[in-house]
Amino acid sequence: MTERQLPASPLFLPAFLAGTRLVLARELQAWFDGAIATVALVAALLAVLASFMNEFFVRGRLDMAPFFELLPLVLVLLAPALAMRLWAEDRKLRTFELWMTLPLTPLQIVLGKYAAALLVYGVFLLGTLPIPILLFSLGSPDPGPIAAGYLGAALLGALFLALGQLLSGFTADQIVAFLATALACAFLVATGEPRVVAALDGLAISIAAGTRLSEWVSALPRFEAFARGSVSLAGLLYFAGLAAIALAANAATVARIRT
Amino acid sequence: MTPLLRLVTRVLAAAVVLALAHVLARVPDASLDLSRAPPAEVTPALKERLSRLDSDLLLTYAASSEATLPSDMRGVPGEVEGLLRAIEAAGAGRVRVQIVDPSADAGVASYLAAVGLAPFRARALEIDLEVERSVWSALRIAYGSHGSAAIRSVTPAVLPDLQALIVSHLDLLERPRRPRVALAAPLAFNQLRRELRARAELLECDFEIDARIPEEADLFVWIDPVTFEPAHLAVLRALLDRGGSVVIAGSARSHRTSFRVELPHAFGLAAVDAILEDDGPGGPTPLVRSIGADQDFRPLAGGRGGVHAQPNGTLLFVAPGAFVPAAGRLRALGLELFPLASTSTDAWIRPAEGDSTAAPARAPHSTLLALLAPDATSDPRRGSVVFSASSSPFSDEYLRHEGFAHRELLSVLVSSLASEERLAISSAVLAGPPKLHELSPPRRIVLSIAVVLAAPLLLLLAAASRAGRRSRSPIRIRPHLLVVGSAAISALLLARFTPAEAALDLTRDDVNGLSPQSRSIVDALAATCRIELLFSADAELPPPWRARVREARALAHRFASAASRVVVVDAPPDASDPQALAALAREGVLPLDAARSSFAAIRIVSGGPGEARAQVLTFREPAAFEHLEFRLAAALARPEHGKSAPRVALLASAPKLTPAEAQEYQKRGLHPPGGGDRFGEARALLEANDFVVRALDPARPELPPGTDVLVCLEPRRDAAPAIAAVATHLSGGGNVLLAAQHFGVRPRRMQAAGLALSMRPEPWFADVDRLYFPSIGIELVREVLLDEQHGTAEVATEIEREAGRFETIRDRMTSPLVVRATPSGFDRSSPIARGLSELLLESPNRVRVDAARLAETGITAREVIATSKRAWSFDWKGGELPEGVLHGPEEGRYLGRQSVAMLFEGRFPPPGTTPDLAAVPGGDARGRLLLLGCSQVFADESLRASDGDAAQLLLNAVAALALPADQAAILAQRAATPAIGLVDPGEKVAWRVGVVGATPALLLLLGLVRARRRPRLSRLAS
Repeated sequence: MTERQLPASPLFLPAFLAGTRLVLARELQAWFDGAIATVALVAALLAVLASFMNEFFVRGRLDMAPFFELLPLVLVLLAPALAMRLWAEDRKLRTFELWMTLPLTPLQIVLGKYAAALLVYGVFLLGTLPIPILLFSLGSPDPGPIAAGYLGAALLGALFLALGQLLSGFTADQIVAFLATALACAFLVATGEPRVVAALDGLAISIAAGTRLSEWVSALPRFEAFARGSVSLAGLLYFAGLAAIALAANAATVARIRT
Repeated sequence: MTPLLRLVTRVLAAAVVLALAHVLARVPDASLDLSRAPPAEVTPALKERLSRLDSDLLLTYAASSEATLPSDMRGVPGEVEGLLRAIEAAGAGRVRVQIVDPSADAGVASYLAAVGLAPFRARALEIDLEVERSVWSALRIAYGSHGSAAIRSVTPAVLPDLQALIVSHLDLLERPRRPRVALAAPLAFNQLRRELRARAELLECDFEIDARIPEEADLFVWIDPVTFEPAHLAVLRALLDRGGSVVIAGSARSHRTSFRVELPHAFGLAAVDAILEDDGPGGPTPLVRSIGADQDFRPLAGGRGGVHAQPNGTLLFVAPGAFVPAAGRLRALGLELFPLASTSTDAWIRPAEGDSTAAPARAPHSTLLALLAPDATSDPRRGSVVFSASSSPFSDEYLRHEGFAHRELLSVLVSSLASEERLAISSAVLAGPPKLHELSPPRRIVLSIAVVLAAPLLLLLAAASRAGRRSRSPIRIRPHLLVVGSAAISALLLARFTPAEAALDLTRDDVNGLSPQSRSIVDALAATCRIELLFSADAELPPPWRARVREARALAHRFASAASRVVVVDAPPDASDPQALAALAREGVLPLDAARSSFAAIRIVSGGPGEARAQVLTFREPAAFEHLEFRLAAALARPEHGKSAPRVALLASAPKLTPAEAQEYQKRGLHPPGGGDRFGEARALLEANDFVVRALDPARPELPPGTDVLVCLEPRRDAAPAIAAVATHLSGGGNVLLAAQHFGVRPRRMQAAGLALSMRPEPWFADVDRLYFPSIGIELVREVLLDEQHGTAEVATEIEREAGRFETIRDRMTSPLVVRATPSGFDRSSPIARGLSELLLESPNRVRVDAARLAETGITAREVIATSKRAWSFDWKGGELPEGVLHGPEEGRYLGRQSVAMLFEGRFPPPGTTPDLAAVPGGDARGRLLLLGCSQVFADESLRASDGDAAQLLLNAVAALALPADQAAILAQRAATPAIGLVDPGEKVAWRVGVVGATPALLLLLGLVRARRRPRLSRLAS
């Protein structure tokens, strides 16, 4: 069966969505049939929640700044852990060929898998809701930065998962997929760290490579702007644009493998 | 074996392994330490030193039991004991070790107190609450007839260097040596050389030429520096890091830019382009005196382990330069500033020649001699810097002058900065990895690239070559990857060039965007305004400035987008010709750093040609950008309303000892310390935000005409002139910020009490409860106020090391005397309390009003800041505070929420002529008084502290009183997160369990349920 004969394309939205939903349901079931999702989510939640509470009463401030400061580092590990199996497992278990025989376009499969990963990540973010509940129970924090921070967290996770899905499509080895994704995510985070920026700037002052990387490429300053309560169009474009490109590339890769 | 039994067996096996590891960890010979200097083994240097002992050595280690120590200290006593036992074994019978726990034996504590050892404060967490504990960890080294020495606090930081310090102390006890002072001074300073030789071993050096200080120097004295380059700074820092100290003396006015800009900047100071003058018989004179009453050398002596010593006479500073602390820079460097000698209240500051923008002004209590010592966050073994505003105290002409105490000053400096304890530290070869020697920039880059990339590149090459061998087809770049790459670059470009204004600010107070008040100000502009950005290119700016400058540019453009009458122009001064640079310098635009010649300033030109008015906003440090929106908005609004910068009259008293304390000094024939400017940071903060500050003489306050607000800080007896000025200004319709408190906190450890910590309120005699205010129904209650909602503050603790000889150390105190005010106690509708997270008020007093009396005068009162509901007070009449007072009120009778700051508004009656300044009828203009029951909150150390929002409170208060409401609102606008109030311990534990455990437990539960259902589902499916 060639792609042209497939029944669904984005132009026929209901059919397209039905196919995507099918993949999503299958993927979600796979996620929670195995222990990876539960273990990864529980470990990540315990790490961020315990770390937040360790300082919360001593610091004594009604905000989520420490949580949002820690989150990019946690995501450098969590997102690859969630994304590594998206394609690599299929390729290892030879279920990739099974996917390819289904009457679905690569984009439907890619989006279905991505939506499942996003939902699992959504469970992680939902799991952190006790923090805002705590804050609002103890006083009157500014809800704006909390809401914007969560939006930023969702976007950052979405970008990292999209990158993870793309890199997972290149290999049959989950560990390679994990490490490659972690490296890519760490690059996007580290290039926004002030100490890294200053060190890179210092290598050649006139070029100011650190500043350029931070302004142009890094995800961290954009995420930090969200955590400060500023929802910028530039930030939305950055996260959504790069995630969309990663997914498109993933779909193209899958299509190439299928043909 | 059943599964359950298998599980139990495995758990038991794991428990056995853990127990074995725990036991083995305590067996001394069951570990192999591969480090160069194993902490539990006697180093060869100490072994060699022990072999040369000519008397018996007794090492007494006093340590609290591990259970009472905070977490980070636990393990220290065990390690020290292990080491001392090893030393005892290596000492061939000449070394005896005793380990004592003074907290368990009062006799031991008294003995240790008698030899000058004291416990120190440490902080621990108890149910998420920071608490303070007095703990012991001190080592006494008694070396037979040679005498004894002590290492007063053996903390984890000291542990790696403990052996080196013991060796150093033994050497010094056996062969006491004179301090070694390196001197770099012009040839004319011959007398200084002679005087130094009398006190120390003198090592001459040509520091400016070769940037070298002799290795063996304990103290470096640098007179009249001319050249100062990065190499000099590196050498000075290395000396400080190894425990040496530095004295730098020179006048900013008589020397080149290095002294004016870079040298003070390198140590967290900002020099003002002006000289200080004193009132002389024939008018102002550049011969500025600092008399004994204006000197306080306690931080110098105490911080360095000596005892209080004063030069005990007048010091003369010829044409001294003025410098102010740069708070952010000091913090970044881990330094704290203590004024040692100040001018009298008669001093003037005269701007540099050619600066027509400012006239000479009163400069009471300006710092002439400053100590820059490591702050609480730094390694206390680091040395200190003493900065003198003039070299005259060390010059031939004045050094031996009988009328001045310059030789005594030199003695105090040498004996304190090169005391025995300092000599031991600077002589010790401290542990740590070897220092990296200086590398050339290309070498640094090559090494960095090699270390980071070499191994990954090799691995990639190997992988590529392996892949190449496997596949014969050449590597091709897939077209779709090219498309994706291009798309990614396009997305990044799009995101980069999307205007910053296209953003939604979700914060409650719009802190990320231009505030509505700023928009109204620019909307209302009648004339065109040009914002000239005098910023150097990013690459030219020092790294900490770059992000700030970028934000400043973005903010300026936001102003321009908000109104068409505002134009932003980039005008980097770097390429300007010398005349243009000179013109800029006259306007106050000076290079940030002479080596780089980079600039950061903004000029705002309002109005058209012919009637243009220019204002310049300067930035002394990156932190000065914090309130840029306010500064820009205010600068744009001022010409529109024909106003100049807001004028603040600052009336601040200098600290004085209590009569009883002063007597202790007088008995020893010493001038009681006093004087120093405690509010220099407050003044610098206001000036950095474009307030024009005029300091007044508290004994003869004369308010300059057009004063927008009078700030009266810490009035002290005789406070009558200051309070009369306050009352007169109020009755004339003026605005006043009055911050006063009746007591300061003075923690002490006295020999008579076995050096146990006691709290003695120190009366500051504010007299606010005696003069004027009671007659109008306002009372600052003269009681010690305490609150269960408390915080931590840095305080000076006096320790009586020997009978009658005190040492002052700075440490952090956690006590209900440090009242923590949180948003639940703030009037959030007031611009004074807006933008504040929390305030730490050290020993404040509550404000009480007589409503009937106030109503008679028609004055309204509004509470601005209050304590928590769990506040209590103690009616102190003298002596130490009873221990029970610090633990809560009698029978749990809390006072409830108490006002510590109130805003009064109305027609204040003028003060009468009676001694108590009781109000007399009159006063026809409405004045405003903000009365804050705490002046310590505006003292230098509080404004510098990272916890608490003291600086913002000062700005808010002054702005609310001096400026239109819209400008005050802009200044108060900042991203401040509210602090949490009191939470019960049980509630804290419940929240901790709930927040951390709830969702992971739920997920695990769901996972388990699903796992149990799965086999059944599978069976059904099959």
